[in-house]
Amino acid sequence: MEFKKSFGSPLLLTVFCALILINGILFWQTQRSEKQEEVVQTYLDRLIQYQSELKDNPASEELKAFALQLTAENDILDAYSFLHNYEEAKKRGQNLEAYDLMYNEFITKKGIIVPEQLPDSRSTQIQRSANNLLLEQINYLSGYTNSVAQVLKNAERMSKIKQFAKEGSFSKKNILRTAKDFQKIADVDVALIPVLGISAWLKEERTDYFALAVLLLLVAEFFRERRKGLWHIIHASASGRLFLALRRIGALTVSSILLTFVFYGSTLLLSFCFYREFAQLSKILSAPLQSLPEFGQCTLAITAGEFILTRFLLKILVLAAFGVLFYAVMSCFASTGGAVLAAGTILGFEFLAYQFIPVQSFTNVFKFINLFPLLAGNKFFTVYQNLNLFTNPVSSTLGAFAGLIVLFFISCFAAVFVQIKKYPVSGAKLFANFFDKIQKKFAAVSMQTNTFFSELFKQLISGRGLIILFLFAIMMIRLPSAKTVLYTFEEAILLDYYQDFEGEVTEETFAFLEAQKQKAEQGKLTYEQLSALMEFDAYIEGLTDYEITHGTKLSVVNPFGYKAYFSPRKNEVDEWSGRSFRDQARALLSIAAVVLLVSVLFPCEKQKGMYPLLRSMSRGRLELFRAKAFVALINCIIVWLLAYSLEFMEMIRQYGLPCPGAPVRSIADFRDVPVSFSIAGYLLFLYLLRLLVLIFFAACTMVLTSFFQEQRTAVLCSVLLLLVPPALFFIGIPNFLGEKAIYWLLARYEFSSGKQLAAYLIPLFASIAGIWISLVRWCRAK
Amino acid sequence: MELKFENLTKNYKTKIALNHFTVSLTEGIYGILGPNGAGKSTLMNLLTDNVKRTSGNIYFNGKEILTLKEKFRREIGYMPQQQGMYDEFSANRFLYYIAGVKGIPKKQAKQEISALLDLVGLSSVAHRRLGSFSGGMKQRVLLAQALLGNPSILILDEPTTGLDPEERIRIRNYISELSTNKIVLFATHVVSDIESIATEVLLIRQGELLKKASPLALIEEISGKVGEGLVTREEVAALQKKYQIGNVYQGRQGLKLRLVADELPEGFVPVTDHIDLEDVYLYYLEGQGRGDGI
Repeated sequence: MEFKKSFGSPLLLTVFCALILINGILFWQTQRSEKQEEVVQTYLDRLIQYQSELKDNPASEELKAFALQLTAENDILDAYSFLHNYEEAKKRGQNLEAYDLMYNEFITKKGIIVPEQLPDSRSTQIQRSANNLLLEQINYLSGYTNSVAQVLKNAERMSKIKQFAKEGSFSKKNILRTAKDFQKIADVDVALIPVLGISAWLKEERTDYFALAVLLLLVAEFFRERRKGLWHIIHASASGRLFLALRRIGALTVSSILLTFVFYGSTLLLSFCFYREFAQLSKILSAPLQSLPEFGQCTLAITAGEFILTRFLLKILVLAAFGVLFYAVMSCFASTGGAVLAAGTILGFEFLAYQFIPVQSFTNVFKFINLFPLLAGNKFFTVYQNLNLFTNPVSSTLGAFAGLIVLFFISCFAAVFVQIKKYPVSGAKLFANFFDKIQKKFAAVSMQTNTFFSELFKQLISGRGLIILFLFAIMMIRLPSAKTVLYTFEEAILLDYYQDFEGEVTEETFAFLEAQKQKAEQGKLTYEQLSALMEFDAYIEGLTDYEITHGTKLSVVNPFGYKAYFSPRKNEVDEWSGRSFRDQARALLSIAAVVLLVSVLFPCEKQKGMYPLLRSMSRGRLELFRAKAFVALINCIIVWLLAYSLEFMEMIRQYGLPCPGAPVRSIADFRDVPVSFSIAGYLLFLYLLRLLVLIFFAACTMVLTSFFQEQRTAVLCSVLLLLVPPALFFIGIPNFLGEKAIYWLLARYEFSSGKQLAAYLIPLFASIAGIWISLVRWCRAK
Repeated sequence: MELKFENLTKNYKTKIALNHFTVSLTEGIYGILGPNGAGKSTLMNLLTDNVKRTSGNIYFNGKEILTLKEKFRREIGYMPQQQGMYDEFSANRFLYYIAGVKGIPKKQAKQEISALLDLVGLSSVAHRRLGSFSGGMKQRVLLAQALLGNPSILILDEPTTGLDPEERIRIRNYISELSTNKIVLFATHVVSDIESIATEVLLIRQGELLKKASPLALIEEISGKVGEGLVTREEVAALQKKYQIGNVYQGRQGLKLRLVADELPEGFVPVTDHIDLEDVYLYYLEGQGRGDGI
């Protein structure tokens, strides 16, 4: 009954359906941004080809032969890349005399007829990526038996070392246990199967958060009776205590099963679908788990299909245990606000501990015994680790399952206890008293007649703005890739060139180029050095040409960071590196934050019935509007800073900020930008344009919400009109409004033609008009 | 000081909320009495310029309030009917916020807020969240905010709704004390609230001003039209259809009924003492739906 009642709530049902949809779309989009569909197909075709050539349980020699074949193919693909670059440079009219010798030799060596036999660069890239995926997998499979044998050998060796060989010690027992466990999988016949689907499913962390969000909302639904003032009646009824608690625990358990199968099941199906693995499903499910490279250290002798079921079971246990735990914690509070705050505090603490406590820290207990690693749960299967239980080694996988079962039952007991013992009327108003004390403590701060501060307080505290900003900040922290930049050999050489000759082009630069070209003629350069030299040569030529035609002296600037983050040209690297996805996600989230923050600003007074009262006062119209508009502006600035300062810092961390004073047109990609700025000036200009676009969204929200009396309707309408189009565009459904919204906020591609600066007059004038309309609505509407 | 309403009319589509309302007010407490939907709140909203008028004028000291704009709004203190407030604010913070919106300097606000919180008996809970306040406490906060800035026109829309008798009396007394040199408009349908403190009573029905007189004059007007008599239960039902029925109470001699009528029914004795505004209300404003009364 509780399950039916809670899931019957329109809010929960809507959120549940929306999150399933969002989860699916985001998963699909992520896969698309990480692996192109052509790469997947090529990988699969080649894998099927190898499967047909192999026996069911291939010997490692056969696999090694395939690995050699793939490596040789990769050499040819690298040669294609070089030749392709050469042909392109030739078309541009670049002087390539220095490279001819290598070029001809290369053609003779590899026997490639140019350009007839030269595939286009895209298909070369696709083939290379697919080969890499397969090569990695084949290398793992061919080395599997050896790696297990190595572990067993190590165990034997270590057990003889005096330091570890003490009888009865944990280290001795652990070594023996490790040997025993690995012995179980020593004879596993690993198979060559498609592995991308399950790998992607394992890596998808968002599903954990979505499932948890729905579960917490379900727990919050249990508090509807408290919100509606029905708690007294329920607590006074015969089944309103013990039975109600038991029914709710049951509902949470059933919900955990449902959420697990719906969320994780749909992601798994989508994953198999994206990686086109349905045809091989029975092979995949019946293959030993160790066939997947992630599970090389997993000592469970199970199949991949059995692993999927085990993972489902773990997720059910995690959700049920934490669902009931949160139910117990939240039941301690009489008000919904207090309960939500308590749950939020615990969640926030857990998340921050998980994210930011270093592994070596003495506080790392908070990092490991934590909701989030348990929720992710992959490490219990992919990393071999034994826990020290009174000097006995216990598998961390078993430990996790046992721990969760214990946590579930303790939480059940706590939940029942609290449900029975907590009375609707009690003198202890913990949170109310706490907040009253805070208000008293900061009385001096509250004694302000400045309406701006009061408006800010109202919006951040009453309007839940602080929560929105907190969540937004977390998402922004999670968004940038924490990885360091990986350069190809060619790029690394180029990077050295840029850094060595940074600044104005001098005689020294030309002398260096000349010397390198001579080396090339003598065949002393590798292919990567040749390619890098060609590109640097073309770049210098471009700078000198520009100086001759425009009379402006440009400088040598390391362009990697600027190109990656601000290039006005749309390019495939953006797609492949996932940068485009992150840029668009950042833009979409920024718009969402501004819309949600500003949408509560104006209807708040109308809903609370304060509007007529405030309007009857001398400064309740224009001045109050100014204060509110200023709060909206501050919101935009906070969102802007959170979103883009982090992006900027990430860029500096990865690439530095080379030559900020040099003209922006020194970077080849930026030669068409409409105004001749310095690099720093240009970046500032771009960031200000982004702020302008956020202000535009704030102004639109102000106009829309000025027509509504009810906060919820105003928020809903703003979201529908302002957020849905960019969200649709983000998930791959093209629409004009969405595209404009995202691209305006990116403030990048609009400059590709060099004529689009005028496009920003639209948000500029629309912002002014929007503010004026909402001013009129606020001051004159009756 | 004079506040003058001249042919003030407000139509909501086909419904006439206020119809050529004309009255002139000087310093004093004016009880605005009328049933629900009579036009009391519309009158308040027109005065605070929260509703667009259909026609007519409102003059303050001879000047139209729409041209005076914020100069006029600086003169008014408004206590709305709805208890809309920000639950997260403390009483203190709320009053400072209102002081800011009223444009009261911080120093003056500090003195006034402290005095007003004392006056309405909320000093001890000034730092508690408004969300934890009872209905009566919220009403007192709303009254305090209306009094901030010492306005010369005090507009009180049903200020005693939801209060217990003790609080009702206390608020009534505050208003009485504060009315010197002020025009106080006190809208209510609770007759006893204004009986003792109103200088004059404005009786409104269906958007029209029926009477403007002192409570005493109004009571005198219906002298001889209030009667009491002993009746049976069956007779009560019959009389209810024909007359404005007041209290029915069980006496030692049987069921005693009080009613108001131009001609009292047979067996009913006119009441000479203890006629109050409730009888006036019954006489003028009750039963309008049945088309009788005056």
